[in-house]
Amino acid sequence: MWFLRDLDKETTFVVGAGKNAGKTTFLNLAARYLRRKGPVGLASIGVDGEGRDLVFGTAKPHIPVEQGDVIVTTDTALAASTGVFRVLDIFPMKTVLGRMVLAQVVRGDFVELVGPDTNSQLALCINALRASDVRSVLIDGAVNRMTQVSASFHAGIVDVIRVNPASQTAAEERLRFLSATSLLPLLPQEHATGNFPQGWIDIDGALTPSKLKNLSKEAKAVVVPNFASLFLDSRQLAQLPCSLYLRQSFPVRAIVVNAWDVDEVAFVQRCANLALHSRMWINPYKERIA
Amino acid sequence: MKISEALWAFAGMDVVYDRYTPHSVYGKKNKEAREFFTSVLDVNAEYDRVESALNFLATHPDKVVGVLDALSRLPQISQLPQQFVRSPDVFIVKKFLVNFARICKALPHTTATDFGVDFRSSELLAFLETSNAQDGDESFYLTEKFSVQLAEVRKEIRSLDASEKSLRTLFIEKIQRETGIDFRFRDFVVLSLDKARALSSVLFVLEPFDSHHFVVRLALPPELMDFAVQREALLVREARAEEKVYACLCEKIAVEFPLLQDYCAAAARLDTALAKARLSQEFGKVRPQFGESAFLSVVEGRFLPLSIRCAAEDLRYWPLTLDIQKRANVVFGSNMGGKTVVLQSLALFQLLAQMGFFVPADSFVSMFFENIFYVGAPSAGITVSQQEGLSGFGQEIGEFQLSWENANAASKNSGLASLILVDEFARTTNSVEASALLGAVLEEFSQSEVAVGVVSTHFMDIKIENGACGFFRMKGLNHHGFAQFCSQRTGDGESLVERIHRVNRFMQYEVLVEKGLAPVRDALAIAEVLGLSPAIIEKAKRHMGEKYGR
Repeated sequence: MWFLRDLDKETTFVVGAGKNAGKTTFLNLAARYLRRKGPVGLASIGVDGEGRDLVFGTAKPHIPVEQGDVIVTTDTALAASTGVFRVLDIFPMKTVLGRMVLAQVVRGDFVELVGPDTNSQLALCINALRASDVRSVLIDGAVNRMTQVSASFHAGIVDVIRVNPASQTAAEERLRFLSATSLLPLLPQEHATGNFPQGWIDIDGALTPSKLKNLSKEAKAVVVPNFASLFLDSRQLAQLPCSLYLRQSFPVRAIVVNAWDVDEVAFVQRCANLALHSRMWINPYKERIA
Repeated sequence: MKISEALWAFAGMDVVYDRYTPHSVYGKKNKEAREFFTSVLDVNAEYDRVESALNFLATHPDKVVGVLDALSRLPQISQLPQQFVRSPDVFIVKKFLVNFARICKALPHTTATDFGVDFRSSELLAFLETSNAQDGDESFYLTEKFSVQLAEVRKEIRSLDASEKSLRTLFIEKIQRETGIDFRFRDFVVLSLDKARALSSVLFVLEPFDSHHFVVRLALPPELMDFAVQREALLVREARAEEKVYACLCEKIAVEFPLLQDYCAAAARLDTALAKARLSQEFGKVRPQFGESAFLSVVEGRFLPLSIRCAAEDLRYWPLTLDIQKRANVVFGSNMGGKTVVLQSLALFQLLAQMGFFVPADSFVSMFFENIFYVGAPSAGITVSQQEGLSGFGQEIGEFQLSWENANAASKNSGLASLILVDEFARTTNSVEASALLGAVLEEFSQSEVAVGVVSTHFMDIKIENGACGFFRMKGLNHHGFAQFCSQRTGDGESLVERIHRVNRFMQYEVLVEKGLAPVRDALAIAEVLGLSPAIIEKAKRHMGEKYGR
């Protein structure tokens, strides 16, 4: 479980490439580990909406919370829980599921974490959560929203991947992609305000294969917001015609691989030369007893 | 009066409004409402509040940040007291009271009195206190202090939870000892088929994971199941006890609710006045006066959208001094001479004054108008949807007629006149008929009690009865300085913007009082500087000579 130590005192988005990858189950595991050292802040930015974690068959996204934790959710979700919560603040927006609330757990129980609708609202909630009296923050999230709400603070990610024989190739590509992006350099500070040398192209959105193809031959470097702006595969990343810089980095703290009917040893071997190989955590729920 | 978007845009109100920043939801609501005062008494009361706010800002700068912070933290109380049935509902009341009390504490007595800010809810606030934290703790939850029954049932739940936790820990430790499986951080583990099958079915529940593994969960011992059942019953008792507490809280809040509503209104007044006062400090504004001596008189008025731009571009800004004594008024002068800016300035100053703002001028005295109308070209981004399909001329005529009818109707209702600002009326039709129309409009203004009209134009052949109309001429180009400058340089290679800046440098944006319309002939010189072909300019001069003997 050494991967979890890296989440201590940090803000971490638990993201997954698809639905039902096992994000919430991992979030629960991480929260239990982290709260041994101090209260945990929990929020959700997921928009999946499914009522059941199809990976492990558990109802979701009800999260067990304990005394001292601070959560972002709605007043309706608090009312539906049998826990006791001290309301720390109410945010000036409503969702269809109620008013957004920042609450401290007085008596633990299960609670549903509901995220607000827009990215600006989300940023407001998460900033309040980070400012509250918690040691580590975990956010059950989606990559597309994560990158837009975390502009004002430093956060890392845990990427949860579901692998079965049918999705093995896609999963391996995801790992190769994440590894490739983890090696990309951050935009040098002297260019942060946009004063780029000649031949640098700033892309304020997605870098797609067609945009890549249309890049001028004189292009010396391309600047993109973050890794989630890259709609390229690992092969395209490896064959970039010019340098590529990220404005914002999200250190990958772990890649959790939930593998079904997959030869773990062979899978690990195939990924052995990847930059993030040492960050891979295969089947964390598997008990490796003698 | 509902302020039209066209007038708002013409007056450049967004430039002011963007800098007008109330902190509370109540002040922001006032801002959004764009209230236009139609009673002198009300607007003077608002000015008094702005003066009081200015006094507070000047004499207690150390308190300002605290007051603004407390204002920004005031939550919106929009529910009726009987709807306060959850902790978040009561939290809102407590948060409001905590911050309103902070405001009252920070304000000097006179300021508090001016705004009706008086905290009389100490008892309720003390009742809602749920922590031992220092004053100002906004948080809230239903603590056991509110009810003996609640305290008892929560104590039982705590005791049960402690027993359950201890038993569960022992059970998990036992499982770890016996099987080596660690359930401390997990509700389940994934085990290979053979290892899972070897486990006791009494202690574990198995579900398939994949072809080679099971998900293994703990089968809770009967004692732990009993705890769960007992806990359910206690939770029902707790919910009932909580309901009773909420009912009691609702009652207390209901009694205090009229006071809370007063507090909201006071916060709105204070926040609005403070925001207006800060704006006044920023732009050096003056309290408007409403009197009978002049229809509209401004000394050194600053049209902020332009003065801010001029300052940014290091250009001279010419403040406006103008004394309007008649109901019909014409502003005339050179192209690019600033006629429209005069009208825009008047629109801005009058709007600000009647919205309860101080005016960016050394002095501003005006009539109190029932309405302000603007007739002219729509500003960028403004479309008049009802008039789509009409030509520019058709739109102008329609707008003018509507303004005139509304001014008549308003005057009948309130006895107050309206201000009608008309920019380059009939500019799209031929000059003969345009002059006739303009003359008629001015005549109508001069004979009517329902409106004060200010019309800008560059037509010279308007027939108006002597003394019926106020004439204001833009001073125009400094021909001498301009000619001297032009003789020293060619201007080749200058961009249009640079050429416009050059015209601006030699344009005198001063308003002169005249006895009648006097010819102003700057257009050719200006066109020349703007880069019109010298051949065309020469031909134009020849035409002028043929027609006017010059």
